[in-house]
Amino acid sequence: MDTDAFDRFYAERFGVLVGQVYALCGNRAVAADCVQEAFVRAWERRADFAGYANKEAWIRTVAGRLSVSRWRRHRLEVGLGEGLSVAGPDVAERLALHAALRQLPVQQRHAVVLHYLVDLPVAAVAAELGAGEGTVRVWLSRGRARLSQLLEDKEHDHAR
Amino acid sequence: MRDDDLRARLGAYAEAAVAPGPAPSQIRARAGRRRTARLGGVAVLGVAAVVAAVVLVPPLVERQAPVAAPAPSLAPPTSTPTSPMTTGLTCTQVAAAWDNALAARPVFPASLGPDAWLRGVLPTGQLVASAWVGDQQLTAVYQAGVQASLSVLTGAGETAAALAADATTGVFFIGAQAADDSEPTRGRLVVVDGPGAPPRVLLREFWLRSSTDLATVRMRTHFKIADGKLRWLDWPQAPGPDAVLRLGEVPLNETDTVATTQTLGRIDGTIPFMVWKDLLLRHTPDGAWEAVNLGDLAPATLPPGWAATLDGATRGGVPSGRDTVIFYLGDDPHSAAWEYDPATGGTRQLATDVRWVSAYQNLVVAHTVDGWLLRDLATGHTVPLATQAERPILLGDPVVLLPPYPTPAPQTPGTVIDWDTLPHSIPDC
Repeated sequence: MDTDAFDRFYAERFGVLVGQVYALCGNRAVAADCVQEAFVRAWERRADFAGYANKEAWIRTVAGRLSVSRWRRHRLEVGLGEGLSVAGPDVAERLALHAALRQLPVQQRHAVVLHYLVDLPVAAVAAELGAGEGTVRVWLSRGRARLSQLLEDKEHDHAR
Repeated sequence: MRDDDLRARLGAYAEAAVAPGPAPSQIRARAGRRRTARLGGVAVLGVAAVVAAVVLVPPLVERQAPVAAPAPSLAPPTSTPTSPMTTGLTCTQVAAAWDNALAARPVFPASLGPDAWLRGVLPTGQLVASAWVGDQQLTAVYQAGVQASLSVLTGAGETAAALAADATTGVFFIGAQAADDSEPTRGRLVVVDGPGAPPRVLLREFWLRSSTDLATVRMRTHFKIADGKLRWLDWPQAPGPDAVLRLGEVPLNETDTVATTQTLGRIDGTIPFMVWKDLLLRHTPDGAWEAVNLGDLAPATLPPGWAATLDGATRGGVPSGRDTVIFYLGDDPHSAAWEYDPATGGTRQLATDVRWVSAYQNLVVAHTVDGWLLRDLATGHTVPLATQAERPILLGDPVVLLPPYPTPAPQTPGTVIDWDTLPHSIPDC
């Protein structure tokens, strides 16, 4: 992969990937660090990286794994609001979604993020997570139901 | 909640986190800097490999004038409690007991004389020590507390390294003393078939480090005796597209024979390969981990959670005394040390901001930027040690402290301490 192609890919996808990894790990700084690190590793093996069919999935997977390691290192499983991006509108809704995502089991959270945020079809989610399609459908179903319940509870709390 | 609603909410949530990253040139530069640093960093990995595989690269050792040494003793220092789990010691007393024990002179095999120094510990638990006999160096492999040993006497100007040993046989590398640890290490392999047996030449020409060129130099480490053969791993120090890991072996029952090698596969130089029990685990340039059984070279199943755990490791190795893998996240000297149990997939953090750790039972000894620390994982308490040890302290039974490298002095020969003579519980300070 030559420099121009790498730089273009980085410029186009860095921000989006940070958002996706943020949804997975719940900490913006960690997400940004891990995506940067994944791009560094991609450049280190650019000859191989150029041949990867899905470069974005590779970056996301490596960054996701790094975020798990960072979490283990720093105990960065964040509480409500910690590491959360609080800029922009709809802060209350994002706080609620942030808290709800943290309560999902990791596999359900990853499946939900990849399917509903990254917009991957079930087969692609299954491939990225190394699971069967049926299993992913179960995770998605349960994850969505749990998120709905948590967010509705939160809305009811606010209404009261 | 409808699918579209969930998509919209997740999109808004993630979008708020999006921030511009550094310029792409900075990302590329970071990769370049790290590659350069790794050439040196592999030397650190080499240290871990030395500890894990006990490849004793012959050090430059200047002959020291004999000095009167205190009577050797493996007995615990007087301040050390006889019961390891004695309660009632303050953390200061615990630290003093450890520091006193680390400063005590060990018992070496009598054949080595009074000025021997410790060279290392083999994966089998046997210890290696050397001493000068006239202008020759005598190197012995022995069990702590047992006088019988396998030993070899070098020629003038030569030095020996014990590569591997089992209950009856020892394999030594004998070669010219290298000027420093970047020099090629060339010599011959000899076998000692039992205590007192004369050494016989196994391979007339052998190297441990192939050249001085950092870009092409290959290392031979992880020596092991198995199925009547000596086996080792042969790997390039610099990562690159042609980096391949090889397995070398030679039958031990032959004399003046030849070694065979076979390629195990390509390796990603950015993540160290590891050996756990009989499994070789290597990270391929494709970004995947592959496991092979070193006994029959058959593909093996990765231990649970291996890839997810080790992918982010900056260094890795097998600690003494445990069947677990210690790995490091982050860069020295601010690495976090973690322990991973391949049998269960479980992990736990051992210490942060460390250069080196060793763990055994409930204790962790860590070398940090501020000095040595002893940590009790059971109580969570930590106490600083006063020792100024330059080399790793290897926890296990026995605890081993290697002397300064490459020039041990008679007064700092390293030491060997019976685990049961040390206090193991650290109270709240």
